[in-house]
Amino acid sequence: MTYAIETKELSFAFAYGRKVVNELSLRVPEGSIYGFLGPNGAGKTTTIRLLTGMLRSDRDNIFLQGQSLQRGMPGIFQSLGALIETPSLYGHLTGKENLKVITTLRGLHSRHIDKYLSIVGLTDAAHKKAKDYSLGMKQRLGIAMALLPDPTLLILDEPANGLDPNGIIEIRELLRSLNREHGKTVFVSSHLLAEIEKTCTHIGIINRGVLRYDGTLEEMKRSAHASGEVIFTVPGATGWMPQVQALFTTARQQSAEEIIFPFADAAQVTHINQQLVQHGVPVTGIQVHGGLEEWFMHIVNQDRKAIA
Amino acid sequence: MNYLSLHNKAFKAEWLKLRHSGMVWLLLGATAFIPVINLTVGLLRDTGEGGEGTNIWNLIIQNNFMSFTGFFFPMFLLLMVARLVYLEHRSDTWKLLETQPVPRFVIYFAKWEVAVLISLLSLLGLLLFALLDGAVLMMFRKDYALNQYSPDMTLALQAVGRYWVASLGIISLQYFLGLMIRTFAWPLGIGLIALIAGGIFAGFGVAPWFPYAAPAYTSASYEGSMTGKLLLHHEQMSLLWAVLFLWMGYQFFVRKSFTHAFVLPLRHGITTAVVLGLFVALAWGVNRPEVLDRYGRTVLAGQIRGTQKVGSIALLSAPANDTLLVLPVRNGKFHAVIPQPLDAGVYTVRAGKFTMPVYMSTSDSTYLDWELKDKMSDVKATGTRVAENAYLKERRPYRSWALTENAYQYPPKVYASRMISEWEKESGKIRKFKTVDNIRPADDFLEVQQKLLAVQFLDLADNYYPQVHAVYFPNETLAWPASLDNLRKEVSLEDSSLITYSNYRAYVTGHFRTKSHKNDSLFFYYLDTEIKNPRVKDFLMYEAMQNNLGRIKDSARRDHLLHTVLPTFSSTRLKDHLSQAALRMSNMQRGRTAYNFTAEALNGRQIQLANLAGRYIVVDVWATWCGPCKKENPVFDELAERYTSERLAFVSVSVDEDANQWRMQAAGRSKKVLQLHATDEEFSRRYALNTIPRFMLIDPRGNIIDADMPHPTEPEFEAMLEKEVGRL
Repeated sequence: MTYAIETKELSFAFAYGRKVVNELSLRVPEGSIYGFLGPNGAGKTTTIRLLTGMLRSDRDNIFLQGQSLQRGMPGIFQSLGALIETPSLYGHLTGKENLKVITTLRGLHSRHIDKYLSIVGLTDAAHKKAKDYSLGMKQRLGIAMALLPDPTLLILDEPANGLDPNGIIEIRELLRSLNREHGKTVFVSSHLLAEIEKTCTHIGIINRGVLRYDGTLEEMKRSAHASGEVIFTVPGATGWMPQVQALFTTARQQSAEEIIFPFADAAQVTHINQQLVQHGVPVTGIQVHGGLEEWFMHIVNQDRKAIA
Repeated sequence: MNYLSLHNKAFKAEWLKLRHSGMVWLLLGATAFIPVINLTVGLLRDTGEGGEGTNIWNLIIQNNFMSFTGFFFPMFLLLMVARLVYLEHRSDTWKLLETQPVPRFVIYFAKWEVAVLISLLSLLGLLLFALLDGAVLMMFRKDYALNQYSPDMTLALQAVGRYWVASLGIISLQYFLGLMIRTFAWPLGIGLIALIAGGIFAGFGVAPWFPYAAPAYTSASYEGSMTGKLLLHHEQMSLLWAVLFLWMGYQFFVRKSFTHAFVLPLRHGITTAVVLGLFVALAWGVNRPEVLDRYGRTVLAGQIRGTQKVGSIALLSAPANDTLLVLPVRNGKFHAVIPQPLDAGVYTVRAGKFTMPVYMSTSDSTYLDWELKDKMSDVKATGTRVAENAYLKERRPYRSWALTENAYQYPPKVYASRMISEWEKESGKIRKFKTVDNIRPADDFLEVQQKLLAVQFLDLADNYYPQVHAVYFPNETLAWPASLDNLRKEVSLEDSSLITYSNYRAYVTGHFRTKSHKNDSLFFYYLDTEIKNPRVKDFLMYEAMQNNLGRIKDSARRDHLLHTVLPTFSSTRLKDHLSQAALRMSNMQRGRTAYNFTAEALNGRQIQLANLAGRYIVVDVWATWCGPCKKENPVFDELAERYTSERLAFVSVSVDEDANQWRMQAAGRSKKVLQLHATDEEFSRRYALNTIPRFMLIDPRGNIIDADMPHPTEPEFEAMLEKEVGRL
């Protein structure tokens, strides 16, 4: 099977520094929206710079759509659209002219320019100079520039940066439709879990240059929800505790009105609730702690401990 | 991959990026500023430039180019390159460019090409504005006579091309700096400092290899190569710099760090070393002054251009101006192989009334491009002695104010040490002389020039300073320190290689005059016995004799001297010359029949001297171009008005080449003076007209009374007339 992006033990270190990327083996399936997740400084951008050939790997270990990057440059960029870090714009040119630079450089017809301007919602600002754009507009123009050559693989570094909630939703929708309707593979990096969770089909988590997790969204959710704690709000919890502990030995009291139950399986939460209600415990609220967020933090912290 | 089509796309994209970048305004501002200033000055004031036959168009273009390229052009280059590169640094659009399906070298070169093209556009723009200047001046300043000429576009476009090449080194270096230093100001600041340094270097004439000095050097040699080369050596250097920094810039562009680009891994370091080594070798080759080889035969050739036409040119040799060769001029060209051996030295070439010194020796090929105008001529001598002739034409003779005007301040010891240090300094300058084509004179010539320099100092020490010393240090005897002996060792009293230079002859003659206490016989005795080299002896004897023969009016004394000195000559030619000169002198003695010359009167009639017999005749020999003659003219005319009578006639004979000039000016002179124009080829020779004005008095029978009268501005003139003619 060919992957849209595949790296084989990709490592990179700046001169005399520690490895920023450490034996990273990425596999981004064709047709996926791959969320590349990691805290700030995890090595996301360095990885993307390596994937786009802006940093050179010493070894021939990066493959885009089955083709070696090292040997395929620059022709390989024919089917690649990229947005790396801050959007690369010519501030003194208008939005439209910025796109025109791309069509000219690639020898494309300029008739699609207006279409992409409307896709990213910049039709009204087409003749405004890019330096006068807001951060969000700049971001959207950058995306339009990546989309313009109609690439089959999109590599987007933090595309939601600086966008307002509406803009974030629009971008999300855009990525989804590009993926579903046009079959494009999207590789998108972010440090926001929620963002990734809402858009992606596949997820990879990187920290300190090491790939910590790699899988589909479903797999991740399954393992993320595999364990956790649920907090039941029970008025007069202290009085109910002996009865509750008879039912669930692991239960412990958190405060005057809260009792915590660890669980290993999402189905257990339902079970606990049924049992408590049957036994007349006055449950007034249920709060599940855990899920992706906690799981993500867990991975990151575990890693930190491991290194310390 | 089709690189050409990729390149075209990248180039177009680069061009597109120039929109709203202010480049057009920068270009217009930089190129229009100087022409506007020059136009204003040209309209308001008389620039007083040019002279006879100067093409003002070319002058306007050249002035504009020189002012522009002095500062504005290189400054414009710095700004332009900084702008082009910083365009990408600003929001790191390199990222965008590098993820396009376009090879990096295409991106890299497309940008460089845009810079190079804009540089060309600025030069063409300046040329356009300069032509506009000319057009406007033609409309409003009729006195510049611009309509009589048209601009020499070949010269102008050649200048554009050479300035353009001179800009390539700066552009590439700034491009490299711009890529390395990701700010706008720093590369600009570094460039500016280098530019100022370059201006200073060019001002002192050092470091033609310095890339920032290249445009200034091109200005300094605006007319370009003398030997028909496309590029001068500093322009070739600019190309070399361009290649080096294009390469370096590309390495950095691709590898993104100085260390990775040029040092590590080891093979990059080795490549850098090899490239730098190659560059140094090539640069050394380009900058090394060249000495031309001799040619198989001795050839003199050339062309005659301009308003004056001549049928032949003559090659003359010092000291008697012997005609060695006469070359016919056909269709404005001449060519001859000179069969006889030529001693290395300065010869005279004559075309019509113009002469020019040419340095030649056996096995030299010399080409003269000679433009003859009415009152002036301009010669470019090329060939195997191009550097020697350029040296003679361009280098101003050395003159030290401190050693002449301030000599009285220095006691001998100080004076000597100043002389030595000046001598060493000037010697260095002589050795450094190069033509615009980086050709230096041959060693034998340089040696001669250094000796001539030593002669100048020795002349100061032996002939000038002793007089000063006698006045300002009257109680001391002049004693030179031993350090002066070094200078004396340089110059022998009989150096054949120096003998064609009058400075040297004057020095040696001065030496023997002092030694003989200005006694003529003793002087010639010393010359004869102490100088062994026959050529040197002949030269000195001949020159001294020439001067003496003119001075001695008594024919017996003259003949005596002639008979003593003539046998000591080796050259029969010079002997003959002297005998003939002496003969002419005696033919002009009182009582001899005056040569009956023919001349044209203002009415066109041919008149002979004999036709005027029966009256005393005062003859004034003059020419319209002769300044001293014109000072005498009004006095002569006034005397003619007063004294013309049955017994005395006043005649002016012009020796002008151009009869029209004579007609115009002669018509305005006194009607009492008979105005004649000499048409007789023998006139000058028979009357030994070495100098004019000359005044002669002839008696009514046509015999000479005095062939070299006092001048009318002197009271003796009138006194002599009164004495010879009687009551006036």
